[in-house]
This record gives sequence, structure tokens and C-alpha cells, in this order.
Amino acid sequence: MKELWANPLFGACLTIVTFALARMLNERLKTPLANPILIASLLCIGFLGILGIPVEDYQVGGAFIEMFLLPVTAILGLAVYRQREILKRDFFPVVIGCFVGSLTSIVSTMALGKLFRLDEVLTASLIPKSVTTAIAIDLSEQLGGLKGITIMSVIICGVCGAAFHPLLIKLFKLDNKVARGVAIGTTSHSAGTTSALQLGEIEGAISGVSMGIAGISAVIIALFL
Amino acid sequence: MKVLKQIGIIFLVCLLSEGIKMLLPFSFPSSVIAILLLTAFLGLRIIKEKQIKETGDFLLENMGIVFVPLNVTIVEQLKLLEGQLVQFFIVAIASLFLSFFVTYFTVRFVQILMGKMDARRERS
Repeated sequence: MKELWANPLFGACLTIVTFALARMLNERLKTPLANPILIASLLCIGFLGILGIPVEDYQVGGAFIEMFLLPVTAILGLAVYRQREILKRDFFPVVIGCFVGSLTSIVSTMALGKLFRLDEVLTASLIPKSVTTAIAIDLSEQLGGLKGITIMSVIICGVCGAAFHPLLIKLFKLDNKVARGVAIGTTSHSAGTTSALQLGEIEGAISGVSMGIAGISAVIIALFL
Repeated sequence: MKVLKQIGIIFLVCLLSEGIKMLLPFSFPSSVIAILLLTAFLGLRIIKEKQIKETGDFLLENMGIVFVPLNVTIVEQLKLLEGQLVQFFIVAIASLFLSFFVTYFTVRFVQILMGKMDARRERS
């Protein structure tokens, strides 16, 4: 049986099947809280836990799915291209919004970390949480954080953002599509962008662009920390 | 054949961005290079939208799946947070939502400001 779990097809299948189920659930329940990434992850963790399958065995196939991280990010270029007129029109609000958002994220993390007496290494690991994983890891090393904790912070922000930002948008009637996209992309990067795309192509494209700009902003801000 | 070509084009752009990342004298994420590259190729008509449309739409629709394996593996990391789990989550979530609102209203502020500047320019 062990050979079956360690087969890359198993990890890939489990991921695909749980994600498909999660998407069906999301479409039926029509609430962003039923976030497909969250549900699929919980189903996978549950399945592995109940059957006592080691995570390393799952990861053999999981790695195949992870290979699509770059293509799936690259394809945001298509969404950006489709929205180029809006981007030209709102260039400054987007860039300034991204920079201020990144700054707020970094400063508030440091301030709240001090307030709650969080361990310095944990705070340092949390600082890059709003930017996309690749940049976050580099920043974390620079600031003296732990890579594993940073990846977890990035995922928490991503999944929480993806699940809750649409709710906040509805609750507080945040109607401007461009501003929505910038807010989502700056604070919850690629995972948040999946939610933004569900709201609309404009939000999705702006979110994708904002992800990049916010990442660059964070790198610049970190130079001064 | 069509899907194969489309996947090929997208993968090639990704490979190119990894290559560029290696050649750069400073550290820069390949994901950002990839977005910029694909946007540029589409803008310059080096790649036409219809050459990647179906696969592109499929990837956009199912983006979330790549995060599932990452999520599954972090369960192990939770042990590193022993004793500070609650504070960690509070700081993370509070900062997340604060930044979200600040970003949204900053964009709105700049949009309105620029709108006023354009209106003034048109009047003079």
C-alpha cells in the first residue's frame, strides 16, 4: 500500500479530486467563505490524517501540482493585457495604493508584534506575509525570519484574504473595482487574486498587477528596515 | 494539438523568466518577471491572445489548486509556533485587514484627487 501512496499519481489525484469537489461546493454554496483552496486543503489533510499517510508520500505527487505555480502566476499577464486600458487610466492610484498598502502591512506587523510581545523571529517571519511566496522567502532571510514560518504566514494571509476580503467588500460596500483589486492583490497576493478573479476580470487583473508592484514595494521598504 | 501548443507557449514564457532571473545581478522573483514578460509579449503581438486563450482561461479559473500541496505541508510547521499561536494569528489577521482597508481607501483617495485635478485642468 505504501508504494501506492508514494506514487506521484496519488498526490496529484488527491489534489485534483479534492479541488474539483471544493469548487463544486463553492459554486453550490455561493459564499466566498467556502473557499476552494481552504476546503481542498482541509479535505487532503483530513484524508491523509485519517489513513495515516505520511505527508512526504503525498508530496511526491503534490510537487507535480506545485510545478504549475509559475505558469499560473504568469497567466495573470493575460488578465493584465485584457485590462490594459483601465490600467493606463488608473496607473497612479494603483501604484500609490500598492506602496501604501505594503508599508501599512509591514509597519502594522512590527507594531502589533511589539504590542502582543511576539517573539522577534516570529515577527520577522511575519513581515513579508502579504507578498508572493518567492519574494517573501527572500525577504524573510534578509530580516532574520524562519522560512517555514514565513511560508505559513503567506498562506494564512492568502487563504484568509481569499475567503474574507469578498465578505468585507460586500459588508462595507466597497464598490470601486480597481481599488478592490489593489487591496486584494497587495494584501493577499496570488491566493487572494483567485478570489478577485471571481469578483470580476478587472479586479482579478488589477490584483495580479498589484501583487507584483506590492512585492517590489516591500523589497524597497525592507531595505530601510 | 491546440492545447499542446498553448501549454508549450506558456511554459516557454515561464522558462524564459527563470532564465532571466538567473542572469539578473540582483535577486528578483521569477513570478513577477513572468507576468511582465507575458504582458509585454501580448502587447507587442509576439504572442496573440487567441494563441493561449483556452489554456489561459483554464489556468485562471483553477489557479487555486497550486496552493493546496503547500497548505498540506505547513501543518508540520505549526509546531514551531508553540506557545505563541494565538498572538501569531492575531498579529497576522489584524495586520491583513488593516492593510486591506488602508489600501482600498488610498486608491480611492488618489482617484478622487486626480479626478479633481483633471476637472480643474479642463476648466482653465
